Amino acid sequence: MLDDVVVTALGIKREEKALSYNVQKVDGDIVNVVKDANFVNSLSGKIAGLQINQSASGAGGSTRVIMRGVKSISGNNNALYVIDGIPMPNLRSAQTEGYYETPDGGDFEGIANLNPEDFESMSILTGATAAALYGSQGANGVILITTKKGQEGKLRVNYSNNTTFSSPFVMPQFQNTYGTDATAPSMSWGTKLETPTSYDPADFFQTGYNTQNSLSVSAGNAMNQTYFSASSLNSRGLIHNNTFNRYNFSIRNTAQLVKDKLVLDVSGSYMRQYKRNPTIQGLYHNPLVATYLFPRGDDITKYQIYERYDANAGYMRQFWPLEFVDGVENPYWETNRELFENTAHRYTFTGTLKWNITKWMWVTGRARLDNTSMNYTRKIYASSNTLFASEFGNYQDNKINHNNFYGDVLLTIDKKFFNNDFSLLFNLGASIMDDVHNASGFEGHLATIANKFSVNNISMTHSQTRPYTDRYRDQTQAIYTTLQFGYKGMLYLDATLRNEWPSQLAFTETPNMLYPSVGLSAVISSMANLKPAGISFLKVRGSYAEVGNAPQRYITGVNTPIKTGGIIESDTYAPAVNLTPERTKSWEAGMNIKFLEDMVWLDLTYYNTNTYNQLFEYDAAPSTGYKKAYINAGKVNNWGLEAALGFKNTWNDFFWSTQFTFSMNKNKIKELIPEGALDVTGKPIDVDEVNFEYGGYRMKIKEGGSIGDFYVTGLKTDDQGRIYVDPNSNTVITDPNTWIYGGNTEAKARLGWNNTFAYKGVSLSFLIDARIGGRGASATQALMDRWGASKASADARDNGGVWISEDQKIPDAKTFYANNGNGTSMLAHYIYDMTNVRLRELSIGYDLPRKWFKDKLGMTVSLVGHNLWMIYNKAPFDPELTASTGTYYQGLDFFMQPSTRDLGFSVRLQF
Amino acid sequence: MTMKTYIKAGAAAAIFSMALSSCIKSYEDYNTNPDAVQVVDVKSYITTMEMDAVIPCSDEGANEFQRACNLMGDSFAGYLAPIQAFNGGSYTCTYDLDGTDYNNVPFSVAFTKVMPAWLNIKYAFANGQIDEASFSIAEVIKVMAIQRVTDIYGPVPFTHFGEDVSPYDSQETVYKTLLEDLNEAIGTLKSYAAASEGSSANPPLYSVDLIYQGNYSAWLKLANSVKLRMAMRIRFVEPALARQYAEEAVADGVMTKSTDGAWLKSSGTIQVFNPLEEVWNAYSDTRMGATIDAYMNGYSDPRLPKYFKEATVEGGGYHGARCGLRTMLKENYKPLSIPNVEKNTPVVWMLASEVAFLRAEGAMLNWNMGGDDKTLYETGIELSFAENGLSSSDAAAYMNSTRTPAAFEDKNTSSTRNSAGQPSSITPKWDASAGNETKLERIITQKYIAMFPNGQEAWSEFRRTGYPKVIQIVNNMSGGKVSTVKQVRRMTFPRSEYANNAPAVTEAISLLAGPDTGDTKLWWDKK
Repeated sequence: MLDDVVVTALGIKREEKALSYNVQKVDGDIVNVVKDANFVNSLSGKIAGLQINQSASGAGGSTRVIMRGVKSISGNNNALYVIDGIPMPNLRSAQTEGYYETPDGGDFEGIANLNPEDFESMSILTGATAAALYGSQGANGVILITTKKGQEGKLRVNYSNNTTFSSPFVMPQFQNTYGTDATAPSMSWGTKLETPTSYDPADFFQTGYNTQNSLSVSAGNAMNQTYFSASSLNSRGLIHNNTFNRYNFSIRNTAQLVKDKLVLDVSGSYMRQYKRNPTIQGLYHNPLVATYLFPRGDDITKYQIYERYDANAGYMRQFWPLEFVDGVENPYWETNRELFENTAHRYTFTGTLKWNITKWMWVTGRARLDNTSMNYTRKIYASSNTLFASEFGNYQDNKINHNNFYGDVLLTIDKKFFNNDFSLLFNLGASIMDDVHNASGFEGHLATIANKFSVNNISMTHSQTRPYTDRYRDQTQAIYTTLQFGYKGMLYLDATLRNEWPSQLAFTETPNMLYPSVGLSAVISSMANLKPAGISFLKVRGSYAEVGNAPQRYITGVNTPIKTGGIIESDTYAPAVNLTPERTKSWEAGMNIKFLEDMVWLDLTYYNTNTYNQLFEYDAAPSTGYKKAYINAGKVNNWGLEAALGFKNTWNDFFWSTQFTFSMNKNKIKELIPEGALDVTGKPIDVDEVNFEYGGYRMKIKEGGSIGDFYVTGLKTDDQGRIYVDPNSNTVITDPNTWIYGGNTEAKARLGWNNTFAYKGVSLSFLIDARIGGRGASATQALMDRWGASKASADARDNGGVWISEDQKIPDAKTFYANNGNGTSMLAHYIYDMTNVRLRELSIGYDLPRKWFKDKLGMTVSLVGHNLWMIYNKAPFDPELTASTGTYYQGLDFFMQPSTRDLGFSVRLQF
Repeated sequence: MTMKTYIKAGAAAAIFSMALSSCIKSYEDYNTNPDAVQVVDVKSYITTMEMDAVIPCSDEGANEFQRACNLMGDSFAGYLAPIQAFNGGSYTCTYDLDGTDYNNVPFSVAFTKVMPAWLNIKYAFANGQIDEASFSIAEVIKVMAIQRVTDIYGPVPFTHFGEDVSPYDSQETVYKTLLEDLNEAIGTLKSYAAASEGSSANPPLYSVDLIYQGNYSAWLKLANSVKLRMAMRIRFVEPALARQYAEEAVADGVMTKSTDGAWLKSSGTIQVFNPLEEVWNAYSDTRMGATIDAYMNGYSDPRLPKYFKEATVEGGGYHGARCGLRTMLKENYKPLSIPNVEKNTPVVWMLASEVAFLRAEGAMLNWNMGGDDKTLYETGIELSFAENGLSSSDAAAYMNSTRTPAAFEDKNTSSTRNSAGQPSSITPKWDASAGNETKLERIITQKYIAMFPNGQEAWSEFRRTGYPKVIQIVNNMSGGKVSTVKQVRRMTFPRSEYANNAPAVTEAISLLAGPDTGDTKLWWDKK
């Protein structure tokens, strides 16, 4: 039996059985059957230990990918992507956190640019040991992508088309039986309608579509192989005027310059992307607010002609007399006259030169240039709310350039000794990663000409006129080495060491980070004959690793911020010269076992990680002359299990494979700043908790808690803890100063069940996945209740009041729901369990017999579906969606754009 | 292995060592923010302080101003009224003082924006980087900032600011310390003002001081005027000290000319935008208040078109709104009068007319104010007219008027009207035979009109004297915690302090004369 080979860190190929850590290898096809504009979403439920939350920004939005729990309180927790051994630059845009102005056409992440048809395979390295060689970038786990190369042999052409149509998947429940009262024309607190209104917020959504065309060509001889691909993706979202288009081209050539000695692999790619109006959630520019709250007695068709010509002004003026929360506008105006657009161009050039010095020793040198230029614009038309624009409009124009360079050299020695009983694998390498980010822009209210979106037309004497700048240069240099001894293919000892110099540590006493890993893998089935027990393969493994994480840039020196107009801010930070990098110490143990001639397999991993030296900000002793300072302290623990159980067999023409994945993670903040910690002046540092506040929703970090804990406010209670009801007025009041634990937004466990059946060219596969645990809050529901638009508010009226506890009923529902204020005042009543089970993917395919096409053509047609059935969900929103791909601002639904149910087809042709 | 192999390995190693000798020297450049300042000219912290000391102006947009001023003092004094029911009607103007987090804002502006900048100046002075006169100017700005914030909350953590432990001080301690600091600054400014007399050289703070371009004698007058204002504030609780400080201030020279006033405005290359413009215009959140409507319309005050623009309701005229509505549709209130404030309108800190009225009140008590009560009262009116570009003959006619305040007529376009009766019958014309209480009402009423739009000061004086008679709010959402009749006496301690500094703020409650509600009177609120 040939041993499986997997690609590991730095592109080093290793025998699977030699690995002392968990690597899950999948084919590129896994993301190409039921396709998503961002392929990462197609990994959901298929890999144990991979937690993926999709941004609620529609097609092409960024994703939050967390492996083995949230480790860093202040740093990045998202996984690293590596393509052909080279880490990708972090092109993730910073998202606005807060519920006023979240819609963001600037939402961008580099990984969503890739054409998944170019993928040969992927390896998911969930743990720190696997990633130790990537240093700080790899602390959160790595997704390794190996791309396709040209193949020796005749010309091969592949074409595929994948088209899906989408509709909203999870929406809140509305009422249509109560109308509008003249005194509150924007609310639905009127009398019961004789006939229920036909108004349905779901009608606002259009059928979205997503169509992807891909073409690839491969050709080559023994000395030279070429691969070329092109693809297009065109999509429109559920919300009118939401568009995402992407075009990719890539070419790769692999040539033996000197036969068996010198191999040169060069490739280039170009990507162009355009995105318009990717609404995430929030109050402003979000058409869902007015759509969901729309007064049920009113007629929406009146407002669909959203603008009327104004002869005085000389332009079309918004038509919208309704008032909800200030800043909410005509939803049709918002989609057509408030445009958030982002155009990106990205190109990469990669070259790899491999010199085979001998059969067992070679040197590889790699270099890659990865440049992106983006243009983000925001156009707010004249007669939009004056919060956003002057009477002439508002314009923002930002240009972002990101230049990334990566280079490395790696010496490899791979040799067997003593009749091949002993094997040695040794690597020594060095790398440099350089990121130059240069962003600038300008925004402001328009000065004189309505709807002329040019920076020349921006008022220069307005307080809302401001430049935008974001410039940095980060560089990391590193040297590393790995050493592996193997004995008779049954026992492997693994060690790695990396020393890294990140520019973020400049000015500190220790400008470098050094970290090791060791691991042991024992193939028991090669040591003893386990066949009688039905065991065909058994491996046990264990490893330990330490990985560092550099602090954020610019905090080790004096960098006093300046405001627009050159005003110095008093927000000063003491230079953190005594900083040490965050450090994750991780160990894992696991086993891989196969039964019945590999028909059944089970992979099991237990891990435990502690992340030390978390970065905290505290109030500096005033005598230092600084307002704030930083300290390293604290410890966050994550432990959990990753398991995969599979079965695969063929009975004559019938094939069935099935796989369960399971993962669970437990996060605990073991320590913040230990008691007795002193700052530079000898004063004790006091940080009991760190809060991230979004109105009446607060994410709290404190000792004994977990990352993801959130707190909300609710109603005033009496001494017995019962909700206090004023005996005279029968009303309740809110209590803004008491924060109640609402839950934790992270899942306790995740399960996936993937199945494939095949019979004579017909295949059927489906994926059911489940998320267990975690809670979230919905301000959408709160505001719908306040406006009388929700089913709950109609039920309360039908039942003569709102039950606030088992024996307390408030008869006046309208007054009760008014306590919701602007959505977050009473969130304690809007907490939902985020457990959910869904049929995530389904596909039925048929390989048309080649002989139908005289063996000139292979053709596969499939019906594909995504999010077809929500089997269980108690929340009024899709819990797997997120408003932010950062660590915080999770679990709060504020008119979040719904996720999509997609149904479509795909056709693949092979020539 | 062959020799050749060794050579090859050696070559490979050489490539490695080249990579290893990589240089990290430029890292210090990389890790230095090109868009931040590495070496700060300490004097520029004067600008930083001034931007937020009295009226928060450094905020992009006007959210801080709106919450710290517009939805507090400006509304509590009846100058302006919100035309949106914030937070579903539970907010400061309906007396649900902790229904929102607005109560954080005056505190955070003072203690996280103004005071840290002051601390930088203090250390620079201690290290000899700036002279004592520059530090004295910073002290005057600090006094103005802290006086406002203590008049909002009462106890604040002031006297130990800049030390490791900074507990809340009682308002008495805060006031007395501020007055001492002010005295010291006045002493220094006096000598510098004298020394710089006749000099044409630009003073050190010329380019960073947006108020007086570093002019010592102007600062001296402002410092004495602030001292007079503070002395008058404590006259019901510390009469002797009040008199002493007031007389000292007048003797040392307060503002007397209409051009002596302190305004924050664009200067040199630094631009200041008046945040009130943002709030009435972009936010469309505020309109004329009912109280000033009743008084100025009743008096046919010539300053009306200077302060407000005509309402776009039928019949035009100047019309305001009542404060404290729990539900309202903005559309119905938008046509009411907007304040006549543009982006470049200077932001009022303190005016000479206010000083004349302060002296008139002192003179009424027979303090030595350099004039009698009638003259100073009429000087106040004259100065206010001059400050608004009106002639002294207009002023002369006005000060002889016997008109009385009008009833408030609600002109919003909805069917719900919240009109109110005539708040008072006080006239502009001085009556020497009237008792001191009537005189006081007359002085404060005219001072109230003159001080517009400095709502914080007007609210403080309303609390101190009971004048003018501010029209009550419509809906009281305090759950019985604040009396509609007595009106709001203070702001509750910041929500953020309860969350992050609970022991200190609990301790601070003991320094109050009652619970932490808007009903509890401050130390000087003794009348």
